[in-house]
Amino acid sequence: MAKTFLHGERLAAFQAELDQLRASVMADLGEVDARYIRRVRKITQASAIAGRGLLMFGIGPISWISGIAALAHAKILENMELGHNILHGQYDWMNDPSFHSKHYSWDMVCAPENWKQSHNIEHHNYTNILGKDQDYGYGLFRLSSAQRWRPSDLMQPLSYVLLAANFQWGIAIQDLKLGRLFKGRMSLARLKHTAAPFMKKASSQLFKDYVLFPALAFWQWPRVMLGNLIANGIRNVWTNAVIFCGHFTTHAQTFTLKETKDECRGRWYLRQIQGSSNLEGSRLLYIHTGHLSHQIEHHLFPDMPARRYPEIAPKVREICERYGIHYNSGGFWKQYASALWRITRYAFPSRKPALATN
Amino acid sequence: MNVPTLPLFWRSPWLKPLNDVQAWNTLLQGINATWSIDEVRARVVHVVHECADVVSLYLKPNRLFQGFKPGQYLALTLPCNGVLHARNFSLSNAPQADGVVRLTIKSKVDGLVSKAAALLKTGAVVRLSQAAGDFGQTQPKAKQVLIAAGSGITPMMAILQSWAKRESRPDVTLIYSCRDANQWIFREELQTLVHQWPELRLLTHFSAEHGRLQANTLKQWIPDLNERAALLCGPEAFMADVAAFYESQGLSAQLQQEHFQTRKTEMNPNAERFRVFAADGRSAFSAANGQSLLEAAEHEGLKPAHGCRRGICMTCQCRKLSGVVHNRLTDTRSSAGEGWIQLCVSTPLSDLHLEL
Repeated sequence: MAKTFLHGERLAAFQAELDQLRASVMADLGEVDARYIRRVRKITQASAIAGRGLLMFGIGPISWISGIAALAHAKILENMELGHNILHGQYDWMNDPSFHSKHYSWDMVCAPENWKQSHNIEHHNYTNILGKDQDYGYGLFRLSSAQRWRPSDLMQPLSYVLLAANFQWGIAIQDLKLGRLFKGRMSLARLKHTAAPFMKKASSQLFKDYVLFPALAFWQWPRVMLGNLIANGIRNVWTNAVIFCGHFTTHAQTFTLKETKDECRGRWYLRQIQGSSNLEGSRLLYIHTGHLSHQIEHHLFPDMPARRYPEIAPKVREICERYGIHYNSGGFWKQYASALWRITRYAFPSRKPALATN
Repeated sequence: MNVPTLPLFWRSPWLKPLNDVQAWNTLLQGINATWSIDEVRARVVHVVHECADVVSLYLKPNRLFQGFKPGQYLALTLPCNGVLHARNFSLSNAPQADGVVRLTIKSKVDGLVSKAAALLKTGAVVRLSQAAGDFGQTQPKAKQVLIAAGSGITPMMAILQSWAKRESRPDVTLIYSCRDANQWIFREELQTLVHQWPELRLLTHFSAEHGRLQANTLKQWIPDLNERAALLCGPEAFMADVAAFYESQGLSAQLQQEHFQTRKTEMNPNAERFRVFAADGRSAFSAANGQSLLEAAEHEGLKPAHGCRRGICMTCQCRKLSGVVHNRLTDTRSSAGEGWIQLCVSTPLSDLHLEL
């Protein structure tokens, strides 16, 4: 599928329509949105307390498994619907410090300071620009024929499985850009500086899940420790699947730096739409993906409270249809299978595509 | 937020999430909405409609409230359409044995908190700050004059109540100005007080009938004005008039004032450049209308945190204490009070105070 480009008045009209859509939702934010996010937090906390309680004080395998399920559920909700969205500043308007992007920290090993740099600034600004967007393949995967093939790429299905199981660590060290250190383009002192928040956050997370809570369970410590490990693992795999569905499906486009030079907001919108893909499903699926099921809407308006994405999705889709832009959307399994196929396909050499005609 | 923070040990990051104060508060408030580890919360025990647009809330704070002195104010935080807003209000009664405090609030057209407060019912729970302020805290002189207008009567009421309880009551003249008799806050309460307290004289001025109270007529009303220590509270323009009169008489030293608005920034559409002040009041940089605050700050050698420079990443977000900005991304104008702004898409419409 070819990329769509808009020019002149058509581009301006396209930009204005999306600006207008954003403004109408932002003006409507209020009580309902505040009540929603507070409720999500309550459910998350209840789920975490239930999960940790069952793991620490439960007896027998059934309580152990339900404890893991409840804790994994809490971690998924917290990371996706609360953490990710709050750190985007989606709820800053509530003027409540506990929902504010400047103060919030989440239940995973990535430090918010590092995350805001690698995700909010780099990924959301340079979405799917090869060489600029560190999220594109995470420096591990070849996902487009525009990237040069190396024999080591043959390993990528295997490295994908490893990344999925340890995804929180992948995200956590992304901002450290270790590759630059190995290539000698970054000093050790510089690394120490950027890694400081990560070291602090990661050690307190490890302490919590593998020292503090096991210790509080006395002789039950092995089931707590193992339970926490599995709950973290479930969260890792789920988060990874959702995120890979967001940008690496078959029709998700990539861009070159040249294409995006002097890009106006309309062009930026256009790139965000074409570089992202949506998941279709139930409201529960949306909530447990932190509404990243609506990756397109999220990339258009990263600071809009995520519960509004399903509401504006039909309008975005309609706008896309009128301007002849492909709106990439499908069921979870279809999209995930297509992302997995892409990882497998580009493990092998492929021909360079014909240059995109602009 | 406003109460003694937890000892260092309990705040240790190693105890997370067991020391998550917010989570404990949620749990406690599931049992009783006024319980909290660190917030002063209070239940509305009684609501009285004093007169048109004015409501008195009788509040019973939790144990974290450290009490107050007459004349002090506190911040009332209420959610208004999902957004938490805090405004300061003077306490309008003297400290009571049962710990109930009273806030008397006049609904203002653009006052979000005052309008939300007017809708509160008995049983509702609100968030308060600790009391603050030094208005009327000195020992009363033998002769006093209290000058109030509109809702400026609220701290005066608390002060009068506490003076009335003293063994040797001062000789007090209260001058109260309001639009008309229907707008007279605490009418009955004041009249009762006058009956019980012979040295209290009450003079009222209704501006609907007699026009705005002229400060220079004060002397005709109270011949011994020079001998009286004065307390003043009311709308800004009224206070400015009275303060100017006191200055012209060389009596400024006798006058103590309570301003409802502390930091005020003037809108000046013709100004080419606006000044931006840091939180400590020192001038930080200046910015032209149309220029983003981020660029202006960088132009003057400052280095605020920033990221995408197009309003999406929130890195350059900064707390605005006062002043009005225009957000170029949303094409909206901010309120004049406290709020968060993004430096990269905001341009000033007035002088600003920022927490840089």
